Amino acid sequence: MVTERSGQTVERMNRQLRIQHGLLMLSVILLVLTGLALLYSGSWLGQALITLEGGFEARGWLHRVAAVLLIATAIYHVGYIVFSRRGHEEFIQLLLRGSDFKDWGAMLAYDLGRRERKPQLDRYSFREKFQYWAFIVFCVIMTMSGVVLWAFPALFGLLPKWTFDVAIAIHSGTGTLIVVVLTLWHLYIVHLQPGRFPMDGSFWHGQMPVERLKEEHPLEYDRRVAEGSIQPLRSEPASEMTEGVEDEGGERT
Amino acid sequence: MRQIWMGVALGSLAIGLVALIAVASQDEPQGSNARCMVNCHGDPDFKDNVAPGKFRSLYVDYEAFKNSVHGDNRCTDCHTDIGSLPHDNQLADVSCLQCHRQGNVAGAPTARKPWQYQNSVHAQARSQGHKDSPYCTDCHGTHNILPASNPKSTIARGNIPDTCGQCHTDVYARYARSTHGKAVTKGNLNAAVCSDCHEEHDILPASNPQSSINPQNVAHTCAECHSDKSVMRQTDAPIQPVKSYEDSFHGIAVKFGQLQAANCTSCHRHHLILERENPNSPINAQNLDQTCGKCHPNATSNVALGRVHVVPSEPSAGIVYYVAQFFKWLTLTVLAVLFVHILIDLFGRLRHRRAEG
Repeated sequence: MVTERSGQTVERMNRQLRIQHGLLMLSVILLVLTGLALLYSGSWLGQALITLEGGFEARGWLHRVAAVLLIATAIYHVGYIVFSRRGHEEFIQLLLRGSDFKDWGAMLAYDLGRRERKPQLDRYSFREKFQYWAFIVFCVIMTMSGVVLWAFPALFGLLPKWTFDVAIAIHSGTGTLIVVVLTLWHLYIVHLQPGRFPMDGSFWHGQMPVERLKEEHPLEYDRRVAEGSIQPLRSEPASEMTEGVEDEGGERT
Repeated sequence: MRQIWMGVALGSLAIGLVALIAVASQDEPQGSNARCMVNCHGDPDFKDNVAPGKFRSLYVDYEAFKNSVHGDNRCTDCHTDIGSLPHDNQLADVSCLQCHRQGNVAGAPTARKPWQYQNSVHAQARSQGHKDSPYCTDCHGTHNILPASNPKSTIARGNIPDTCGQCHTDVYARYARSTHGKAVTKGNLNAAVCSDCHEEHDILPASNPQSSINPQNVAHTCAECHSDKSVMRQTDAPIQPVKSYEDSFHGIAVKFGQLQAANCTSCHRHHLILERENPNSPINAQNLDQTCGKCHPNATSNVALGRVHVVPSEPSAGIVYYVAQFFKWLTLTVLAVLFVHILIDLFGRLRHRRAEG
């Protein structure tokens, strides 16, 4: 596991990204809790959530307020990508490439012992990219189906009744899928995996220890060392784990 | 002389005994009931002058009484304020609940909780001075009470609409034209009669949250029959609408107290419920835009496209079923894949830690 001996950290998320992530996190948590409350309103869980959210009508308002927040965050995010140099650069790095799928396969092979070397990952690996793009798709689907349901009084009559039933099926189906992906992919990778449990604080302070950067994003580490923005780590054997990783890095260079 | 007196005494005793045995062996009024019947109430012309020129018959059809559920009772079992004869002209109302109360030892049936009548709209109206409001006897009869299992009883399923309809004439006229009313007329006694929706003794106003016809309880009341496969099969009626409604926005909203949301009767009406094929039915395709339009002003004929009561988990839901199935299997697959993915990750960590250690 990563030891944080050097005390040296790098900025993983700048203030812009932290604010956008914070707004996304807040709106999605609210949407999930208020959405599940309605989806499971027949069970004790749903009923407890509805009570917690201030009653049936308040739950609806909370859901719609959170939805507006999410949509506003998404629009802001697009603006950040289009109009800010840093946002543009981050977005280019987040584009899916064929190598991401190769890295994923290589990582599974490495974990299963079919491969000696760990794949060399960059600032955004398949782990980050998959969830980023999955969430973009989720946001588009949820916004579209959600708007149809929200605008029901105006659309009723324009659209046949079954379109609303389909919108409900899509909205609740995707919502459930989001909860699964959020828990088993995002939360596991970022917070719950061994060494990070119970929580990784980088979404708050934006910093990441250089040791972890070297272990999980070695290509970015090399680049940063080359451009001189961080001090290279001494090859002292900080622990048995980092020793192993460093040996590997040594092989590669 | 003494012997003569003894003979007279024995003789009159013997005559008395014979007379008693003769009376006791008769089919006609016997015991204490005989005194009521023989002298007064057995006479078809026995009546009371209630007002100038107005008479009330006081005749009791003893034949009907003997055949009634109370045939073995004495007159004074119910008319308890009769102590001696002749009795007062004004007797108190008979209190049925003196026997038909919880835990009575007389064996009077209480399965249908007759004491709940005291909370009903009928008893309330009566206590407010509406003397026309029904008392037990108005629905059950008086001396001729028959059990509900007897087809001639006023409370036999097939006769309940007629019994209630004596007073509720306008409702009766609408009910008789409804799909329920027509079915009962045809002899389908599974079809809903008044008491199925309104209860029997505890008939409460719709405004009472406890009432079976309170907006919050309507769906449950209809579901008693409409979710019962065996009952619905007889009329080819589907049972999906119940589940579909419960899971719909309308059903959930009503459950959480938003009573302005639609319940069954908002679209189907209540007394004049008609099948979809009937052009006068509010759920006929031609009328759906108006029916939905009562609450949703933008409704057009578009609302008649597709099914209204869909259960997404059943193929009859069409496209909704396929969308729901797609998400169900996608989610299950993603769940399984991500779970395995975590296991592989943990396995890899364990392996490498061991290899390096």
